[in-house]
Amino acid sequence: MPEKYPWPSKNRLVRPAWVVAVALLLAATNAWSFEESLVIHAGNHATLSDGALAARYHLTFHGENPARACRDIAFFWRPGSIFKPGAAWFALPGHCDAKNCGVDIRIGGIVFFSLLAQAQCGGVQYQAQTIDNLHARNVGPLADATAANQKPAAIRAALELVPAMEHYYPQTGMTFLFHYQNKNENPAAGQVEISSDDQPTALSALDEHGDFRSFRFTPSHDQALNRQGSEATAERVVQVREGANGPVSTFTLNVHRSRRAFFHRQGGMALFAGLAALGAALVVYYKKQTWRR
Amino acid sequence: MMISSCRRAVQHLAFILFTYGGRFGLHFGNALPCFSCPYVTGCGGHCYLMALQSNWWGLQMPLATMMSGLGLQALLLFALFALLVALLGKSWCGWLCPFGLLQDWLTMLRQRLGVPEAQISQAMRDRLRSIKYLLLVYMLALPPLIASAGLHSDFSLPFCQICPAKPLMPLFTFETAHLAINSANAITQTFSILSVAIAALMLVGMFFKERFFCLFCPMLAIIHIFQKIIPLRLKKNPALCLACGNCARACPMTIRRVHEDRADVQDEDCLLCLNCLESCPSDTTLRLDLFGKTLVSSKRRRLIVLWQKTRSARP
Repeated sequence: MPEKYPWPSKNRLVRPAWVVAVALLLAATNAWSFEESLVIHAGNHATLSDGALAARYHLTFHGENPARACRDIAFFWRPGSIFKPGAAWFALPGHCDAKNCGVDIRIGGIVFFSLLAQAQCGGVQYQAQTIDNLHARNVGPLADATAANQKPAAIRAALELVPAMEHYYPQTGMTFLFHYQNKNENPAAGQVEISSDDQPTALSALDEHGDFRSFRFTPSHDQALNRQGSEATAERVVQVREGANGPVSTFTLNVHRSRRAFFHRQGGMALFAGLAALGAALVVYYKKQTWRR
Repeated sequence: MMISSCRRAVQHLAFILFTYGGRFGLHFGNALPCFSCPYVTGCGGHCYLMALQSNWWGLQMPLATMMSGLGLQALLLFALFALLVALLGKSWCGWLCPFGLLQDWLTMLRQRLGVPEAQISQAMRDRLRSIKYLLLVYMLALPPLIASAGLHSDFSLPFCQICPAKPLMPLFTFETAHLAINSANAITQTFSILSVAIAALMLVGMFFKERFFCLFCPMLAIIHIFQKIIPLRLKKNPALCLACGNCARACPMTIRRVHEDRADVQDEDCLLCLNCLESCPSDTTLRLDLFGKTLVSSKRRRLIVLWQKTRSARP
C-alpha cells in the first residue's frame, strides 16, 4: 500500500540541499570575511562664528592611520545640492601625519556632497567614499572656497551611489542603489565580492546578464540607534573587492534611525477613534442636563 | 458686508494660503503667530512656536552658539514675530489661524446637527486659563535642557509633540502618519500616544465647545504678553452700554469682561473676532481702534440686518 505522504525522492532533495548549503556558505563567508579597508569616517561638526560650518572626516585603513601603510593618499569632493548632485570631482587638501589622516571641509549655506579618498596600500588601489548633507547657518558661499575655483580632477569613482532625493537624510531600512564600474569595463559577477558590516541579507547583487553592474544595499534597523535621538547616526560601510588583489572600494553611509518604519498607523487611529468616541460619550452623559440654549 | 461674513472669507483665504501655499511656491516664513502647522506637507508658512523651540532659531540652541553672533539670527526671527503680532494683535487668532478655522467648522457642524453647546462655568474657565501658561513654561523650559543639560533629544519640540494640530492639520493633505504610534523607543512611543490622545479629546472638546483649544493655546498667551504695545484694541464706551449682555453671549470664548462697565474690555483670551461688536445694539459702544483711530464700531443698524438675515435663514 502506497504511503499517503511519500518521502521525497533523493533527487528531489539534492537541489534544496545545495541551495541551503550555498546560502549558509555565503552567509558564513560574509560574516567573517568583511574587514573594512580604507574607510572615511565622519568626525565632528562645528559652527564657526561667521555661521559657516566646519566638518572633519577621518580616513582609516583597517582601523588605523593609513599614513603608515599607504601612499599617494588624495582627497576629492563633489559639491552640489540634493536637487542637483555635483558632476565633477575637485581636489581637496587633506592632512595625513603620524597622528591622523583626514580632511576638513568648510561650507556656507546648504551643501550636499560626495567625498572620495584614494590611496595605494600594499600594491592595491583603494577608494573610499561617503556622502553628507551639511547645513551652515550663513547663506554662502555655497561651496568651499578652497575647492570651488579649482579645475575638476581627472578621477572617477569606481563605486557610485545612484542619486535620489531621500539621500539628504539617509535612514535604516532605506534602499541604496550602487553602480560599480572600474576601468570602463564590468567585471564578471564571480570576480566581485560585496561585503558589509551590516546584516549579510541586506546586500543583493543585480547581475542580470552575468556582468556585475549594480547592487542594492538596505541598512537594517538598529535598536541601539533607535534608542538615541533622531539626530544620532550609525556608520554602515559597504565594500566591493574585485578579485583577490584587485581594487577595493568602500562607501560609508551615516544612517539615522528610520523616521517612519516604526509608525503604527492602525494602532494610532484605533486609539484616536476610541478616545474620541469615549470623550464624546462622556460629554453627552455629564452635560446633558446643562446644555446652553 | 457683515463683519462675520468678512471674517469667514479672510479665514478661508488664510487657511488655503497657510495650508497649501507651499504647493504654489508661497512661503510666509517661520515667524507666523498662528497655528500654520509645519507638519503639513506643502504648507505656506510655519507657526513660530516651532522655531521658538528649535535648535536652529530658538531655545534649543547651545549656549555658546546663542552667545555668538548666531544668536542674533534667533533674535531677528523673534523680532519679526513680535512685529507681526504688533501689526495684527489677536486678529491672528480670530481671523487668520487655520486651526481656529477648523474649530469654527466643527462649531458650524454642531450647530447644523442641532447639538447644543456645552457650557463651562466661569470658575472652571478661570482654572483652565492657567494651563496655557503652564504649557508655555513647559515649551520654554525643555529645549534649553536638551541643549545644555543632556536631556534626550527625542524631547525636542516638546509642545509640537503634543500639539493637537500636529495629527489633525496634516489630515487636510490626506497625511495620516502623525496619527501613528511611533515605537522607535519609549520616549517617542509615549509622546505619540499622548499626541493622539490629546488630539482625540481636543477634537471632541472643539465639537462641543466653541474654540475649546484656544482656552489652552500658548500662542494666545504669548500674544497677550505683547498686549500693551499692540495698537489694535477693542474699546468700549460704558456710558452708552445698554447692558443687554449680547456681547458676552456672542463671544466664542464666553468672556464676561466685555460686558463689564469699563473702557478697556480686551481680555487675555479675546480672539478679536468682533462677534461682540457685531451683536451690540448700541451705536459706537464697542469699537476697534488702531492707534486711537476707530476702524469699525458697533451699529444698531448692522444688528438689525444680521437679525433679519438670521431670521430669513431659519426654516
